[in-house]
Amino acid sequence: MGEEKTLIGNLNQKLQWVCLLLTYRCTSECSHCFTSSSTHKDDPMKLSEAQEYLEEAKRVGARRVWLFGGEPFFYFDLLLSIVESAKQLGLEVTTTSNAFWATSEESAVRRLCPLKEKGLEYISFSADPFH
Amino acid sequence: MGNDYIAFHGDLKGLLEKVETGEMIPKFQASHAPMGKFMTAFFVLNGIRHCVPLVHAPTGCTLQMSEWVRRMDCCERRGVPLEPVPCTIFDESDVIYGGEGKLLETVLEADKKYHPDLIVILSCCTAGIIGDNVEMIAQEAEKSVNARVLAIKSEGFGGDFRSGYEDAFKLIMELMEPPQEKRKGTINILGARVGPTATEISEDLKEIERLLDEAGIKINAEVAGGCTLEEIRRAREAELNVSWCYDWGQKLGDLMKDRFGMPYSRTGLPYGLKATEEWLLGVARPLNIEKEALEVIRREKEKVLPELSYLERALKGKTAIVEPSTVFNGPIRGLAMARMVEEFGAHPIVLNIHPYTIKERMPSIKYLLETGLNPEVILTPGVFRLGSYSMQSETEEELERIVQGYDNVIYFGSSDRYPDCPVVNLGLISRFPRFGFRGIQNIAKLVETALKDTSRPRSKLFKEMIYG
Repeated sequence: MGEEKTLIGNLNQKLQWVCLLLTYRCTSECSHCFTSSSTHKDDPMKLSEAQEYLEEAKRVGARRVWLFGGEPFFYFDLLLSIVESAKQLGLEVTTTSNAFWATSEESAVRRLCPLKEKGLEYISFSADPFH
Repeated sequence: MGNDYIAFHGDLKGLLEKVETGEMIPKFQASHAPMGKFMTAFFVLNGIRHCVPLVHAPTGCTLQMSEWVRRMDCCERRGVPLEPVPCTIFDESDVIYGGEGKLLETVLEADKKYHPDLIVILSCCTAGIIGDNVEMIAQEAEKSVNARVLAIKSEGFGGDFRSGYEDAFKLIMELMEPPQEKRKGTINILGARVGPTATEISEDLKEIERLLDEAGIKINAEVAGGCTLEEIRRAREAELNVSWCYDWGQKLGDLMKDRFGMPYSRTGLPYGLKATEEWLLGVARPLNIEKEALEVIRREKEKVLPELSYLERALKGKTAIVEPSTVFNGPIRGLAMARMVEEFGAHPIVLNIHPYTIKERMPSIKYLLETGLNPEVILTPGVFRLGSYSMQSETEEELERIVQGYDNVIYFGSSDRYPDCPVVNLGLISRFPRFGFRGIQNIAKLVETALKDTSRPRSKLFKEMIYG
């Protein structure tokens, strides 16, 4: 019986980042989706609500916010505004998308450039047989 | 302090008196629904390996039980497989013509399919109302199968929380055979429930096993914490019975003492130094190995000296509010926790132990009072509101107001609470020992974290987002 299994380790773990699910609407309905997102849902988070959460995240010491869904690019204007608000609060911003909108180089640039301008630092893509 | 958020303020003895007279028990049981007879009997029997609990009932009773256990307690949370739970699927024609024939067939089928060592028939309300003779069917079935077959009349109306596990322990006693020999230095641990339907954590048991092993004490069986039928058969060969969860285990200890003359060591839960010493010496003295146990205690104590010293410095002079319902199933561990903090110089206040849990565990509460444990107790009106009382927002608001009434407070409970004082998050310890010397180390770590993190901002808003 090792010590590591019987004694509590380091508990000094602070809140590092907050993940906001902007919507449960998505282009796909993957069976493994932990939010059960689907094409039928239409329930984006309000901008004012998101701003409240961002301010709270900042207050309790978070450094990064991750904008997730559903597919957050369904509500692109909302996404842009939240990225801008987060950046203004000094939070690092990341988002995840299945890139349904990137059907050509031109359309990809049309989405990514404004996000970068508003302060998006990282983006990850879901690329697997489900998407 | 005003009393609009205080429903009871006194000590444990005072609360017990009010429960005994019925004064503190709500007439309609809206605020607390304890497990019934069927469920507690099932919980004990599930701790026997290769035992099939066979439910003589409509499918709902079995489904509810097995699904609840599977999803909430074993497979999905702890990776412990649930043993098969066959059911007679009582239907309307069984209610009219009786279900005994069907029960016999189901026992035969279960034996053929699972080859268990033991089959225990558990009857539910429908079978109880029409008067199916489950004990007779068990006797009949046993003639035709390889397994032992027994029955418990566990219909919900036939008893309460306590009667279910007491009857299950009585049944277990029927399986014990006269001893061929007395095995020196060997004990049975009674009241443990580790396995598919654990209500304790196995890490506590490991800590006990470690200390016993250090002292040279062998364990025959942990009843019913994953024991086998063979271990139960040989239980009378052990030199001593020892309580682990003395709430559930003490009945079996008392019964075995009365019927077989087996000595029984009963002490409180080993939280903190004093209780751990008492527990280990309570086992060692009847076995005449006190010297070895004292040596174990000396060695172990030396290892935790920094933690002991820290806990004394950290807790001395503080008011410790212990809220068991937020992290524990019943009041007993909360009361053990209260004793531990008192040992290190804090004044414990036990918050919101529901009167029903006092009623259910009456013999254990009386025993604790006999040992001198009689902490201050506060109950708030939120405890009696409709629904599950443990995490109600009402009790949370009341806690916050209570904390404001004391100086130098520290709270022991769940991190879901937001009182304006350091919060010792007992939920973090659920996968680590709380018992014994390692428990002292772990609890010291939690207290240290709570005191260090007092100024760390917390977010009620995020709690609402996640839990509603």
